[in-house]
Amino acid sequence: MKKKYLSLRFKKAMKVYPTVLAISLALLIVIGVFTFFTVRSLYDENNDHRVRIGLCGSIGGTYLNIGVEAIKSFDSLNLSMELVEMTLEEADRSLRSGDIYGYVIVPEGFVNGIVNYENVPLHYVMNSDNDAFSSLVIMDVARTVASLVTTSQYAVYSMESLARENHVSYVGENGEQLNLKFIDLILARDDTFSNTRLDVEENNSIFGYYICSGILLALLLWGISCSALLTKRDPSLDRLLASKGVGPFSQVTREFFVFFALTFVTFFAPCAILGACLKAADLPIPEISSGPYYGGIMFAIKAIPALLAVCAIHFLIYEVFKKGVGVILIQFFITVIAGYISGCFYHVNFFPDSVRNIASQLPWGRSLTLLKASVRGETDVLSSAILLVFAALAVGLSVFLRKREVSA
Amino acid sequence: MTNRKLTFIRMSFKSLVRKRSFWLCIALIPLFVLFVSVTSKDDSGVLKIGVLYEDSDPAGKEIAESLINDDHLIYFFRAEDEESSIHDIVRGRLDALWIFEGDTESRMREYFTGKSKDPFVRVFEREGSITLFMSHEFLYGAMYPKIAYIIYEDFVERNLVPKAEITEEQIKEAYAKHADTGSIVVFDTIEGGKAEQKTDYLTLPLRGLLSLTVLLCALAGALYYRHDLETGKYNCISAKKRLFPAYATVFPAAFICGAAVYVTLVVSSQVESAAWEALAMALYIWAVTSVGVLFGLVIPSVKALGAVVPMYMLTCTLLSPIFYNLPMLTPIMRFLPNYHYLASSYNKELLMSLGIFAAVITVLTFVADKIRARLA
Repeated sequence: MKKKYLSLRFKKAMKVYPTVLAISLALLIVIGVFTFFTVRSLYDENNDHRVRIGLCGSIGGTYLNIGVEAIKSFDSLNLSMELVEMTLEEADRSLRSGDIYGYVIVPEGFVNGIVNYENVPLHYVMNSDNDAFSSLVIMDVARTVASLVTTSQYAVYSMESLARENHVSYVGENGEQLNLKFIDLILARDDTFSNTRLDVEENNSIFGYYICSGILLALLLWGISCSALLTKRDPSLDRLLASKGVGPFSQVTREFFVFFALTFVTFFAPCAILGACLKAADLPIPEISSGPYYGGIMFAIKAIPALLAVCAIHFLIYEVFKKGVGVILIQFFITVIAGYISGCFYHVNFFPDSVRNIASQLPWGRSLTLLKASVRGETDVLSSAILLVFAALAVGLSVFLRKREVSA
Repeated sequence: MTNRKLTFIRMSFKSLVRKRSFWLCIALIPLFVLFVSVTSKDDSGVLKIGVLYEDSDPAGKEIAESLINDDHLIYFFRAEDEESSIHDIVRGRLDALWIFEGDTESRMREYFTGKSKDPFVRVFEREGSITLFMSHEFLYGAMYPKIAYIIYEDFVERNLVPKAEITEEQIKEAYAKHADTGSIVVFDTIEGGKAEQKTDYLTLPLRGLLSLTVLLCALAGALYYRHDLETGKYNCISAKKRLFPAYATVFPAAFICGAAVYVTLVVSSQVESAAWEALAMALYIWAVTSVGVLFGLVIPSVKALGAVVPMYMLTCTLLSPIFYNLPMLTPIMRFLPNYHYLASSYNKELLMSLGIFAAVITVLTFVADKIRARLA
């Protein structure tokens, strides 16, 4: 009877598998689109997709114009920021359509203000939905860049006023000379510090990290995709099975085994194929490009404890909340909260130590640690052991709940 | 509204409050906000950079302290020593170390007056990323006021002093007059309001995340409606009159969750104006209720709806400006209710766009219901 129950569960799994796979593929496409655009816009230092900032206002015929030209040719910032001169109307239209992140307005009396010791600040105009993280980065950088330009102007006009007060001739010529000196200085600013790049141990590249966090997010959502398989049916069936010799332990372990087998098959095939494809494509993911073609297979095998733990928790949630709608609600809440603190949305290093410590003790954070080690080709014995304990606890708790239900 | 309709709404509320999973989700909202609010007060940043300087080096100390004390997205702190900090970088615990080796002002002066070519800051960092490149701009930005003065002073001494009698005091005074004019950049929003300089990025996604819970509850309401429809609960109601039960089932779920989110946001001081937020939330509840009803009407079974909900939720989570703003995806975002809600918190124009979105979806529910009734 126990063997028959196992084969029955497999049959059910095969019946719902096409639906599960279709949902999972759609979810993966959404995650893939997000990961691609995020990584491209924030992290890829070799891409040509820059953050475009509009520049408008009265900049012609002043030293500021030269300063702005200097800012435009910032080597390192060119990787991320591009200043585009435009009219106010164009800037407004481009900002509303999302073509630019913001625009700088140089007000009418800006230069005169500096000359006359008045504060006429630059205006940085941005979209009102400035709560997104990237807007904050741009604001921070814009503040720094603006301070470079304006500080240079202060110095130029200070020198000019000093020259005028002391009746020194060729004032304008002196101003231009000093301005050019500042521009040379800004362009060569990387020479003012010596830079040593260090090889980092036990660390993933940004792409490697987001591949792992994307996999964890997909695993968290996997519980929702599998609702057709895991949603509880009539509890009287459990009692009937128990009376036929398939006790709560046998029921739970067999159901869990089938669920895990389905998960592993779904996880293993894309890992093996994608691992080989990414290696062949020679993308800037050192963990993959430096590994063998069968690296995806090794990764899938090493990640088994993470799969076990996450699957066991999904299984437990379905055991606690039996109804379909409630379980989807809870699953999604847990996905968002666990995904957030484990580092699926923001990089885990963005969080304070306290959150990182808590996250690393939870099964999802520990799973990410294991996935990160596995993608580097390492074996994280401690994380594997902890995750196996989590899996055993969740399955044990599921058995306890089933026992209670059967004996009710 | 007839008594029968009111009784129907009351019954929907009652059946919802009996569901423990629903209450667990509602209880998770303030707990999550409390957790993020408390932990976000700890030191954190998109990069963690140690700054090493000596107390006997006034210029180095001043630059380092301006970095440490200013609000940045990068977390700067005073490093203890070079060896352990480099070890921390290698172990992935630290992103970079900036070292001012002492006597920074003299070194700067020698460098910018052409007497030396030796760099005056030593930087150790891990592999490059855009944020690390940007950190260089912060380093240079912090040093720049000093550098600009040295350049200016040197220029005056070389070019003006030989031609006129200018004292050191005059040189300083002329510079101070220009440099001390206050803020040099003002941040505005496109709608005309002032944009705040925020750096607490950990609590920023809270409003967006909580708005998702309201949407999710509305979609859960749609699932309940579809389930009731399939189990024959509305068999006694004519096929032409099933739009009201759909609204009556979805609205309580969206309303209870929306109210919980609103109270949590106001109590945790995540919103600037409680009245404005109340209006935005009311419109948002209307919008998500209509979205839920539309899904319930258009998608033909609980199973299919159950499959669509996670996809739609994930799309709303990742593509709307909650964590990262991806302007190239704005055309897609306009189809997401939470995009309009997030944008509406700042001005009237965008609040109106939320209202228009809700109205359009409501009209669509009527159209979908008419088509469904004809096909039935």
